[in-house]
Amino acid sequence: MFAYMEQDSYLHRRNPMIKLAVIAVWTVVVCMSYFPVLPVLTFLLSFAAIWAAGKIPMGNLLRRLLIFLVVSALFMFSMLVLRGLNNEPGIVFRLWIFRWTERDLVHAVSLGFRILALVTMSMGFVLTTRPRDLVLSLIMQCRVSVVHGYATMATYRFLPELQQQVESIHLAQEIRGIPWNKGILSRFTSPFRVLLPLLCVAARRGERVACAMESRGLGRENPRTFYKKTAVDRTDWIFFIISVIGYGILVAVLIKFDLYRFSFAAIQ
Amino acid sequence: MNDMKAEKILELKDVTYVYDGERFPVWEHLSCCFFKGKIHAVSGPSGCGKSSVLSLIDGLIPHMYEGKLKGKVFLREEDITDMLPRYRCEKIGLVMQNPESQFCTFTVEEELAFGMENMGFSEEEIGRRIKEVLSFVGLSGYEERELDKLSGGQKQKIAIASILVMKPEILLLDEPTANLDPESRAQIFRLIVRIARKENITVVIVEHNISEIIDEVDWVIELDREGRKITDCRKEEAAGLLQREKQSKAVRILEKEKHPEREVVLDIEHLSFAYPVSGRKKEKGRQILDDFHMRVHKQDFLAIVGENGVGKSTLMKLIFKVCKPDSGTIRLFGKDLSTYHTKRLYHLIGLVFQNPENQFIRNTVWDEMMFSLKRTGGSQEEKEDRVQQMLKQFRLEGEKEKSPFVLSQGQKRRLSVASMLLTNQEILFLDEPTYGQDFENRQELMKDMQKLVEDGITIVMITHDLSLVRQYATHVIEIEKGKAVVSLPTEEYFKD
Repeated sequence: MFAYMEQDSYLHRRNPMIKLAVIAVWTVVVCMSYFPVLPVLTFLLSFAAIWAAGKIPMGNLLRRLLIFLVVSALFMFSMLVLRGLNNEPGIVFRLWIFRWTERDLVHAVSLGFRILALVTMSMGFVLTTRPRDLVLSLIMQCRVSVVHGYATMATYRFLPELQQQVESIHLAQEIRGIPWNKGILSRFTSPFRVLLPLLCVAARRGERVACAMESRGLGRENPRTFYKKTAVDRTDWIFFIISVIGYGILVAVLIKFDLYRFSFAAIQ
Repeated sequence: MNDMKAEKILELKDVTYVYDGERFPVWEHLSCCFFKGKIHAVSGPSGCGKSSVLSLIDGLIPHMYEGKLKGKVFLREEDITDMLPRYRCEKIGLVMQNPESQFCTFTVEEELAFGMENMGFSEEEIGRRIKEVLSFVGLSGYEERELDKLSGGQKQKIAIASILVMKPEILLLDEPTANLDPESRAQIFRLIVRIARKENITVVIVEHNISEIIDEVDWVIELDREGRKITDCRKEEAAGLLQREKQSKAVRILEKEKHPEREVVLDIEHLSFAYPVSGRKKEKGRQILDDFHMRVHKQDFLAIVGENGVGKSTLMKLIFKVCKPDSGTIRLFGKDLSTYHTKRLYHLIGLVFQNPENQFIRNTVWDEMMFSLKRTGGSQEEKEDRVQQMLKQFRLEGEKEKSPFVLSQGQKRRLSVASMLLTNQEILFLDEPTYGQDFENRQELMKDMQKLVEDGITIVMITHDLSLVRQYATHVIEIEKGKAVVSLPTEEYFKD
């Protein structure tokens, strides 16, 4: 789901730190919006950017986002159910025993789409960023130490294997008579049953990788060279400026038409 | 004693090492030498400290694995005992048993460049050496390949190449072929011989399948159970070891009466299966099993062999109803597999996993065993008796209060087998049972399996370890491209 996808695209060629910076700015702004228009537009903009500038096929992207679309919908639904039981003045919509004010509806849709917008941006980053480039960028642009940078890469490398381990543990436990994810109790307890075997595997794996990296010279005091490098070029800066200014203009327009609120308090 | 005429390059002088938390040293007053451009084999029983010798030479002992070290390590007369592994890598390189354990990047090029970058090589030099080493290991043009998409043999070659590229004088190999299929194993052995003979690199190898390389080994160091050196001489003088290796080369078929009338317990016909393409459930990918046939008789000790990725593990998934076949039938004890409820199925057949820890759930060995009987009938007393009996049978009585996770590798494996047999399973499937086990544990496990067969249990084992197949299996099925291309009694299988 969250894995790098090899393509030669505009977004793939951007420096990871610049992409992260754009995501950080958009995230802060969208989290300050207490009206659904900006979260909805941010979700649509991110989706379109990943599809067009990241060359990720639309069907593929939709499949990856499907679970989050469902989660957001469930989140909005459960919020509406809970909020629909209140007895505040200013009811604008009624259904059976439920009554909603405008604030209830705005609240649910804003938060649901905020989740979706953040997930889409994160997914876009992962799909278009080679893990090696992220680590190199952390080391070269953010001055993270080489040891910590490569430790991050080793961890990242272990993640897909972790999934395989979990599946293998599920199967092993199922054969021993513990049905996996069947019944409410099992759904609650199953993560705990996986935890210990998984921790053992992860700890052993971590120790071995640390030894392997140490015995290949990681952490020596001599100057380290880099066979492949990442840099922030002019196109990266242009991408950053256009993304931030463009988003700023969008927010300004929304404010002008009273479609961007800094608080739910303003909504009745 | 060390009378080889080659130049002495490395020396361990009177070394004693105790791991933190252990009472006894792994070896005491151990001294031995290694010679320029020669292949040295380090052998000995389980737990004698063979791999620890490699860790000591590489510096992981005592700098990464904490403990108390006495004695000295000399590289060309220079005392390197206090030198950290990161500063030894110019001269000494270590290849671990499982290449996955040592990979820390994503592509071949990144992995090969990693060591040289740490040492501060220029970009031009790194590029030149990567090309050179890939050509040496026969993987030219693989620079951009992702490590995860390589075969087991290719991964091991890249692991070796990632050390060779730093041009060390000494190459340490810890069971480099333990998890490989026969063809890949032969390739790796040929590569190791070439490294020593052509590049004049000193090789120190811990390897149990040494029979395939024994003719090329120059020097043998053998340790006993207590880590004492019992052999340290030229290969020709190591009569004991050679004798044992020859024995393992010889075909030793289990003497077993032939019972053509034995009951068929598992019958697979015309079985075909392909995994769906990721994200498109209706679309099928490469055919994994294609018109596959297999018949297992009661009390068979059947070995399923074949290269990586031919469909051996998929076959297990189909038998355990984890996946559904696209076509064909699987009949278990004469009944169609689809008619079995999974709970009933798992009481009839057991699966022992590659990694025994995956199946542990409880905090003590006793609870772990009792857990398997939790959902079965019978009184508490009967269950306790059964567990006691199984613990005794699998020599785990003394460990019943311990956590399964702190047992030794051999004990963990025995516990995993015992817990899979508690409800009197009639067929036991073993998925690479010797994975990560040392020689002695492998032999011990196989002998236990042999006893189970004598007691009426049927064993089906997926393995790469042909020496064990020769020794213990009664029948061999070889899978190639999803089909059972060979199905013969072991004796006939190894005839040629």
